[in-house]
Amino acid sequence: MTTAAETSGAVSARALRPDRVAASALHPVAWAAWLAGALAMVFLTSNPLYTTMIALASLVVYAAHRDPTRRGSDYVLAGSIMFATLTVPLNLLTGSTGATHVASLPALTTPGWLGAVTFGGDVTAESLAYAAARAMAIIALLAAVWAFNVGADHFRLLRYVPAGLAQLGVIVSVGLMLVPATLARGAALREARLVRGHHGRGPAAVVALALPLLSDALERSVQRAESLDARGFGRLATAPRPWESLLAVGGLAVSTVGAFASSYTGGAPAALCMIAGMAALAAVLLRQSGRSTAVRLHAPRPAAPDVLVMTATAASVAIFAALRIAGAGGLAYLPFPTVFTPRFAPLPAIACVLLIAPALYPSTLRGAR
Amino acid sequence: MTAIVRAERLGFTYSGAPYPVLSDASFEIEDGELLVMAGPSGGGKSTLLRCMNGLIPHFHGGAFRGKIEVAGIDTRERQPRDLAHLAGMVFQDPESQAVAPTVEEEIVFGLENLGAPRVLIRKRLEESLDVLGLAALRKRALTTLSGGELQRVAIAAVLTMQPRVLLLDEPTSQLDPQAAEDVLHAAVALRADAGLTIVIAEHRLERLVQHADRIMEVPGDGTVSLHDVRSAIARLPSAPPVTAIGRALGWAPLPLSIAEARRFASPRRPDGGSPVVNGPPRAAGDVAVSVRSLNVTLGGQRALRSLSLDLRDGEVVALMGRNGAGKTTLLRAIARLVKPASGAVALTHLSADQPYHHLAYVAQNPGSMLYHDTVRREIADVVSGTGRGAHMDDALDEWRLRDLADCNPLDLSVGERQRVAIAAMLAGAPRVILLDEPTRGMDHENKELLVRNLRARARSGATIVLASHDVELAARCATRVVLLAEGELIADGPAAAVLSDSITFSTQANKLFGGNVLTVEDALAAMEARS
Repeated sequence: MTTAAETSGAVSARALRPDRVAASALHPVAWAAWLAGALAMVFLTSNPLYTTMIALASLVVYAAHRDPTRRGSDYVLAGSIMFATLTVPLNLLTGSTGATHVASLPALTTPGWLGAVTFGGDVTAESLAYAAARAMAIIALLAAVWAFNVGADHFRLLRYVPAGLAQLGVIVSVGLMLVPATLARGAALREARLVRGHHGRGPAAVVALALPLLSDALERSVQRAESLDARGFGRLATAPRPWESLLAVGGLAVSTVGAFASSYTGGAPAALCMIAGMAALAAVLLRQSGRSTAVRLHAPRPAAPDVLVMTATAASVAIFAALRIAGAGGLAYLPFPTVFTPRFAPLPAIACVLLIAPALYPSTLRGAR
Repeated sequence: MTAIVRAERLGFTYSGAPYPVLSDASFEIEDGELLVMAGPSGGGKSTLLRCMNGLIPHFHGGAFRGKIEVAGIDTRERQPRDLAHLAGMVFQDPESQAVAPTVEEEIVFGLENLGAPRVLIRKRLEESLDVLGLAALRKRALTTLSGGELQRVAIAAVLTMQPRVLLLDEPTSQLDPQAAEDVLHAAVALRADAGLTIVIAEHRLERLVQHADRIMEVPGDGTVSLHDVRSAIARLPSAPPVTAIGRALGWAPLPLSIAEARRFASPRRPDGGSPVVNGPPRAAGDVAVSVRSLNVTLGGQRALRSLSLDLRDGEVVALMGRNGAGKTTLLRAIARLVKPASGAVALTHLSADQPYHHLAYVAQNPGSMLYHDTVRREIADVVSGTGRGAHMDDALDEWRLRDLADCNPLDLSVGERQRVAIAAMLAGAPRVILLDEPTRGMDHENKELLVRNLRARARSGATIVLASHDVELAARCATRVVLLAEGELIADGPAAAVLSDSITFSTQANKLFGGNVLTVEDALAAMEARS
């Protein structure tokens, strides 16, 4: 009975849509480890030379895994990098300190009861260097997250979330899906605007479509969560033990505080805090996923490429952590009181280069019969 | 027989809604029965289905009253995921329920979550691939599937879980006639073999009533009632054409299927075969759209192959063919939304500065074309954008939207949203009207409204092109039918000729009486002439 239906299936895909989509060969856990490593490294250094290298490595990974049929993600990445660079003038506007005077802006000081904050005024080379280094760190973070987003298979990642944290998994998955879904909807809405006699592009279109896009994206997220729930996702969950929950939440909090402290103060204890917090979180996740009873018909097993990516990432983070604790390698860069050229050492540079490991296994087109 | 679903004084009001969708509904669904849910769009069918698998009240804000039990379990006490093995739901919109990247992973997802043994998962996977004709697509990425294929995958994904109750919300709305037949057969077979209870919400009853045990009427006033099939069908406005003919001619018992009706109708005469299809009908109008050796390539594949076609003023053309035959692509090429690889589409009525002044296009998923916060603004936006100069009240009344004028389209049902999109896109008097699957999810009453509206517009000279799987719709309003297969034009002729010459694309009235008879009216006129 299926012949007619089968034929129609074969025909329709050929006629309507691209036959294949990009898919990553790497295991979701390898991706998660790579992202965690890249983020940790950005927080371990404030040296703009190294953050630039991390950003470049992430962009190489992004390029190897992006789906060539979906240009939207390129635009989002470019847009977010542009916003990150905007932090430089904003930083300068809120006042400068340092010895080396570069230029003067008209100054505006708020009245005493508003804190007597000065906007504008003298711009110093120190502030400029500091703002640029901060912006570079943000760009490195964005590039790493975006490379992970196009490379990692969201669904497979979701399947790897321990059952006890299934609800968290749903939230994260819905969040990750939001951007591509919104981009697709944006294209449909632009077309709808076109046939309604408006111009499909330009600022007017962006303004007209922004709000409906957002409410639509939310609606879609609810539908996806509904669908996951209706098909029993997370029902085999065994509730995490109290000490596990405590360790997970504590680990997350400690690593977050440690990450920011490490990147601002540059102290070794902060770096250790961050690493210890991440380790605690990883331990709870591993324990939980070992307890899951869900069967996976297509459970991918970590293979040689995954081991290589994880080893390279672990080595990079270890190098950064060791140098940071030893206070070597010029990882910390604080251009005060007098601006100086950031130091460059071969060892941390090698650690940054190791981050391109996922690019060795680019996404292939998959889905063809 | 024991009750598998039992509702006691069930009531639900969406938050912010002035009236309850369901109020005081009490009913029992028996184990192993096939129930067809009938009622107008926006009447509460989807809401009731969501109550049966616990998504209401767990997922939707609103006032829930009374109780509903599935297999003896009160839905208020369990999360939907813990009811998943009892009540499996296929949602109305197949795009929004896919969660996995590939067909196989999507199909096994539910069973994996239930913790079924690997061997069982493997076996069920193969079974549902066969039952729904998906074996050839098993490794494919979901993003590469057409709407109809995706709908079959969504059904397979729930079927593998073999829940006690299968809830289907308009499962065939996107399928071509043959695929729809296959899906329904699969459901009926499952009920017989596995003892499933099936509840199907559906507007097109013609394929279903013969298999149904009872009909659940959800008229939209909050009530829910269960009826014997024959007694319900005797008064439902959405009764299938054979039943409508039977009603008019006083046949008793009322036939539910073609086979039953044959006892009453004189046998189909072998009148020298069907009319021969020999090109498009000679229409009086001038050429409005001229398609010349059109080739369109999508994602490296040829979607249309050297297609040539002239559409004239006053014609209603039904574009038919399998899922993915190129119907949507042709409409989009005429609407200037895809660039041809070669060939050309010429529109006679085309103002240089505003191409959409004379050209209206309604996409397959009309809800996706709406982006304002009231129905009134949606219409005003099209009127101002295209410069067509239409009266707001006329447009509202034309599509019976007066009461919904200030509603947010996001709060309306799928069927209502569709009506809003059609009303907005067709506001004013466009000369060329392109509609992609306009009756998907549309109830009987609105379909009648659409048919009357399109006929009137054609009389005043508009050229109308409908891409549709709905054979009865084509029979009711098309003057000409164009069949596509694999991007090529394979038949083009007067509706009566093409539709009576086909096995899959033919109406119930035609199957019964043959010849030029396509609709209920044709059949009654023919009977009158004969007697």
